[in-house]
Amino acid sequence: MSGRLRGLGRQLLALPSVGWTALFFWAPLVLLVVYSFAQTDLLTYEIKYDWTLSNYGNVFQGLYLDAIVRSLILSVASTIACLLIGFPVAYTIARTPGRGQLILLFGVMVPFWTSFIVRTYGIFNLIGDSGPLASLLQTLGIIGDDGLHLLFTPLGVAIGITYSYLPLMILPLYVALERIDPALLDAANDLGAAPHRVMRRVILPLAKPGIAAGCILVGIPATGEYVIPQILGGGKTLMIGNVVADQFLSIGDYPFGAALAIVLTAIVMIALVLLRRGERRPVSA
Amino acid sequence: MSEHSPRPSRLTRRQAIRRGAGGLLTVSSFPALLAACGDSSDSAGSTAASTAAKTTAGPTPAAEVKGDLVLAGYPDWYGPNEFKDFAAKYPGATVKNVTDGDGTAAQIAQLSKNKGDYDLTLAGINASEQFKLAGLLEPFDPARVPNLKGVGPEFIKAFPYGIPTDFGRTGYGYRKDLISERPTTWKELWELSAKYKGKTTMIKYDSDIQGMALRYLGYSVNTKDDGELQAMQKALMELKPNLKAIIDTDFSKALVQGDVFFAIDYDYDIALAQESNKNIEWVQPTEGVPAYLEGWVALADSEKLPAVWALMDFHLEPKNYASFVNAMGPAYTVQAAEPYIKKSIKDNQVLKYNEAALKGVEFEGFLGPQETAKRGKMWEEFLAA
Repeated sequence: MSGRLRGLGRQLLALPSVGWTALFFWAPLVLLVVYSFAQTDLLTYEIKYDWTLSNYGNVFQGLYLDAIVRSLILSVASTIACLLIGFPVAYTIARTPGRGQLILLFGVMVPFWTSFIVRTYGIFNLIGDSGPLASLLQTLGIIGDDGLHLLFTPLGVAIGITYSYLPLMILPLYVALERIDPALLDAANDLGAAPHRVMRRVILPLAKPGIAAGCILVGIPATGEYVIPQILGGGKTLMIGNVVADQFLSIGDYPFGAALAIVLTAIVMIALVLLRRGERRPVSA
Repeated sequence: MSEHSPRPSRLTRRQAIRRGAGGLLTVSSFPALLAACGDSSDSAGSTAASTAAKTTAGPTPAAEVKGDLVLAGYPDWYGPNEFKDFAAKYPGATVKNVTDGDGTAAQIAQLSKNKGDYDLTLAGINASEQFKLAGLLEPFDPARVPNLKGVGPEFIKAFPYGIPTDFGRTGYGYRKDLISERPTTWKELWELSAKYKGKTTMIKYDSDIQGMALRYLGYSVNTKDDGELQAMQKALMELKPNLKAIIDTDFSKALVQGDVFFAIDYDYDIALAQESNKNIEWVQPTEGVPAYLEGWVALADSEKLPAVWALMDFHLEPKNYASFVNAMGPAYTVQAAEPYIKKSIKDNQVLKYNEAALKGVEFEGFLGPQETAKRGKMWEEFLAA
């Protein structure tokens, strides 16, 4: 009896979370799905529930497909960049003993204490044609007086995404790498494995959950990114997040915006499932 | 103004203006402006006549001015103490300003979904006409707003939906210290943008930019001709690869800093930019320029219309209106307020209109829902290309 009561108590504890999720996640999502089958009256901009598939048909027009493909390319590129930059950083932190490790982790976390917008504008100024990076490269003779030409380009957007999301890659990688028993690395060394072989056969497989978690944490929000392309893209690098926002905020076509958002959600979910499958695959010896 | 894209400069225009003094229109320009209004003013004029015919009442008695008014529009787009002073004059009334949708379409969507929540809104000609067709607009009764007499008659004719508050033109600024050319046309801008690739910025506002391209080609800003619109789109697509950015904030910042040589921009913003850099020249291209005119309109579902008319009248009182202009610096429509408007605004050379310049000014009018949707789609294609 008391066990059953304890079980009921545990379920009640979950109630606020379930209620919150239902109210602020599932309900809006259901609303989006319903909207996505409706149409907008072009005169009054009121929603007409015609239960049409035309919004989904329009999503796959070239114009919007381009934005989806561009978003996926930028997201994948930024995720890979985060992984390539973040892995050595996370490995270094994981292998740094004592207080040094805390200081390095602190260094990773500090930018997160600043507003996302402020950090993005920081990058805006940094990579500007007459910004400090351009000045430094000009001083070093790497670029000419013509400037850097990074701002308002897809590369500039990718740099912004990579910078902003890097801590989200480093932290799960650090957790995974920190858990690796140093004895395993010693054993590999003792058995004559070269450093690159230790990395490939021991460290990377054991870090796989961290890599997957980092890729999910970076890749998913990056795909629907709105602020960074808005600020660093100069209106010329349109990502799907910007298109969705335009439909709701500017064009007033809620049904089409909803259809775009649902398609984006579906793409992200498919990517998530594929990643999880890859993560569960047994590590080969 | 277009339904399908916002004037993103709504906030930024205000913010930009707040950086310093704006500039403006001189009284002598009013007659010429009327001539430049084109189709929209003609149709608007007939509406004005019809609304005037309905006039039955005089100024709102103070006893009727009650309730908490909600004004939808740009944040703080009024005099700094205006609403406080209004509440002091009419103890039963208050005014709250809320930001509405970013763009005509979003504005209409928001107002139609929340009928009765707003009493009046700031809107352009295009939005106002669409509000009217959608049944959201309360017919304007000029007799309720005696201070309307201080507004230039041309603006009253062009904006019969409520009280016209401000307007502006789209042209471009360039850095005379960074280029040897002295352009005066859109054609030269197209050519120089190709010559100095990546040295031009453009405001991100569909109707102004499409209007610009139409004037470059010699067509009306308000054309509905498919061939002309296709030519417009082609011209914009030719220009896009040569642009540095299509921006919705800090329009002239890159021009001031010298990162670009040209900025397709609003007159008031270039006037402000000149205060930061004297090497910036304003160009009102000889082919003609698009312009917007906006004002306050009453909403049909408001239950506090007497207070709405009283607020409109209060806003047009010369001293109150001048405090708005002095704080925000828009191109002004109330001639009677001139004695109270700052000299730095009145005498601004960029916006000092003259008969010749006004010949090429064409207001953006209402195109109709289908046409606006088509223009919106073309704008999306342009951005996504």
